Amino acid sequence: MKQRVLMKGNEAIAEAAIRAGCRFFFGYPITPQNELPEYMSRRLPEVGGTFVQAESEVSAINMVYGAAGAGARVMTSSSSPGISLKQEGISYMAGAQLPAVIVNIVRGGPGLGSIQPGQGDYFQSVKGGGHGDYRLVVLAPANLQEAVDLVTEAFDIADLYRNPVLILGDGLLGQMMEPVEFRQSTPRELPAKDWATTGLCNHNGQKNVINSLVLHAIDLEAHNIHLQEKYALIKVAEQKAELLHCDDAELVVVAYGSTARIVKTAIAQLRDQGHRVGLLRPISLWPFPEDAFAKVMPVAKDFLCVEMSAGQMVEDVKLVVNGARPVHFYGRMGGIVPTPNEIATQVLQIMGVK
Amino acid sequence: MNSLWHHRVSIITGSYGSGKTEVAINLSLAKRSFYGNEAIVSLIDVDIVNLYFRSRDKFEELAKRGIHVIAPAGDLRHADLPALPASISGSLHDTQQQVVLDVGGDPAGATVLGRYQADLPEGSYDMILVVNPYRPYTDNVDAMQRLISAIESKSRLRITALCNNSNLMGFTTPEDLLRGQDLLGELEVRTGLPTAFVSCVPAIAPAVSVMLPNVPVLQLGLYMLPPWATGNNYAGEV
Repeated sequence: MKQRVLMKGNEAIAEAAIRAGCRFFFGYPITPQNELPEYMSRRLPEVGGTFVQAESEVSAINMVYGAAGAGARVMTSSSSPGISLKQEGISYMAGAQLPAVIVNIVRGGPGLGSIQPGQGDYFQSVKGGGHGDYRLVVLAPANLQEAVDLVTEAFDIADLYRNPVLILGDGLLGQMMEPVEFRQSTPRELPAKDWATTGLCNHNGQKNVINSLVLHAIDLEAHNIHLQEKYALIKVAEQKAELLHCDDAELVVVAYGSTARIVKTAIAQLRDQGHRVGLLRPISLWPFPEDAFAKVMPVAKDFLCVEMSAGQMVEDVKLVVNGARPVHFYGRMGGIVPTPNEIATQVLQIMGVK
Repeated sequence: MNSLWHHRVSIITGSYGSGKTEVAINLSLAKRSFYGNEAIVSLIDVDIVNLYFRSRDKFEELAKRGIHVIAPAGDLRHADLPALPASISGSLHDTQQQVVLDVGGDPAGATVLGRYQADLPEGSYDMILVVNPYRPYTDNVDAMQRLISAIESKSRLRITALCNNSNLMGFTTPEDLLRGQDLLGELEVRTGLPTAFVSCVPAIAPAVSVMLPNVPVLQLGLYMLPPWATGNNYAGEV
C-alpha cells in the first residue's frame, strides 16, 4: 500500500493531531465536524489516549483546560455555534497561557444557521471571540495535506508560546476527501513544560499554579503586558501566506481556505485569457500576513477580497493596504459557495474588461 | 442479464468515504443505458448520515439523464435528519422499476435499511459492499470482514457481492485496483462473496480491464466534485 491515504478533512485533522502526540480529546457533536470526534473516539483508545464526549461544549473546553494544565497535548473541535459556547474557556486558556489546539469547522450563521459551509466566524477567530485582551494563533488550511501539516505545526506553536491555536476550516474542508500523507515534519525546539501541574515530585517541590485570576491591578497589568509582548513576537515570527502569480499581478485576489481554491480556478481561467491576476492567500489569519502584502504592493493596482461571509477579512486587508489601493469585496453567505465564474466576472469588472 | 447486477434492486453500502454515492449514481446510469429510455430507474438516497456530497445534490442533473432521485423534499433536503419519504417503499415494491439504493456510510448509515427489511426478502436484491482499501479502517481483510458483519447486523439484510473501488482520487493507478483486488480476493475466500465489479474513471478503465480480465468494470463519471473542480467527466457507462 502507498503512503498516501484517502481521508475526509475531519478525519485527516484528527489523525494528524494523534501523530503530533495529542492523547486527549474532549468534544461535543455538531455538524459538519462530527467525523472528527468520531474518529478520535475510535482511534485514541488504540494509542492509549483518552476521548470524552462531554455533556456540552462548555464542559469540553474546560476539560481541555485541565489536560493542557497538566502538560498534555490536547484538542477539541466544534462548529460555529459550539465554538461560541467555548469562548469563555478559550479566554481562560489564553489568560492562563495554556497550549491547546481548537478546531472550528465553520457552518452558515448567525445563530443555528445552516449545516452548509461558511467563513462568517473570521471576526470571532481573529479579533478575540471571548473577553479580554488576548490573541489566538489562527491557521486556515486550504487543502487536506495542508490541514495535516498545519495541525502538526499548531501543536508546536501552542507549546512554544503557551497559547491556544485555532485551526479555522469550513464545512467543505471538513467534509471533502483528498489523499494525504503523514510526513515527518521538522520539529521545533520546544521549551520544557516546567510550568505544568504534574505533581510536586516533578518540579522540585515547587508548587505550580494554573490560573487566570489576578486580583491585584498592578499584577494583572504586568500579566497583560507579558501577553502583549508574546503576541508581538508571534506577529513577527508566525505569519504564513501563499502568493500565486503575484509577480506581475495588477489585481490581487485575497482569499483563504476553500474560497482560495475556487479563486485559483478562476485565476487559471483569467490567466489563460491574458489577465494579470494573482492570489494572496493568508494561511495565518492571526497574525495577519502583512509581510506578504508588502511584497505585492509595488505592482498591484487593486485588491479584491473574496469570502464566504458578508465581508470580514476585508477589514484586515483594508488596514494593511491603508488606503494606498482600492480594496474591493465579493462574498456569498448562507452556505452558498461562490463559483469560479462568479469570481472571474468580479475580477473582469474591476479591471474594466468588457 | 447484465453482469453488474442480478436483481431489480441494487443496494450500495460500505464504510463512509468508500465511494458509494459515485458508484450508486453510475450504476443507476448503467441500468438506464441497459434497459433503455422507457425504463424507470430510481436512485434512492437513504443517506441520513452524511450531509455534503449526496445523491440528492444532483437531483436536477440526474433527472435530465433519466434518473429519478428519491430523497427528502423541501427544507429536509438540506438537513441531516432521519426523515425519509414514503415513496421509497413504493419503488421497492414496483416490479417495473429499476432501483438503486445509496445508503449512508458505516453500520450507522446502514441502520436505516432495517426499516425496509420486510420490503426486501432475501434473494430479491443485490447488496454490494463498496470497498476502498486506501481508506482508514478498511485497509485490511479483517477490518473488511468486521464491517460486513456490522452492516449486516444493523441492516438486517445480507451483503451479496463486493465492489472494488480502490482509489486515491486523481492519483489512482491501475496497479492500485490490482492491489485492492488482492485484498478482495482474500475476502472472497473468507466470506464466499464474489466481486461483482471494479469501478474506476474511464481514463484507466482499459488498463484495469487488462489487469483484471475476469471482473467487469463500471466506469465512473464523477459527480461529487468540489466547487473548484473544472470540467466534468460523465461516463456512467459499462
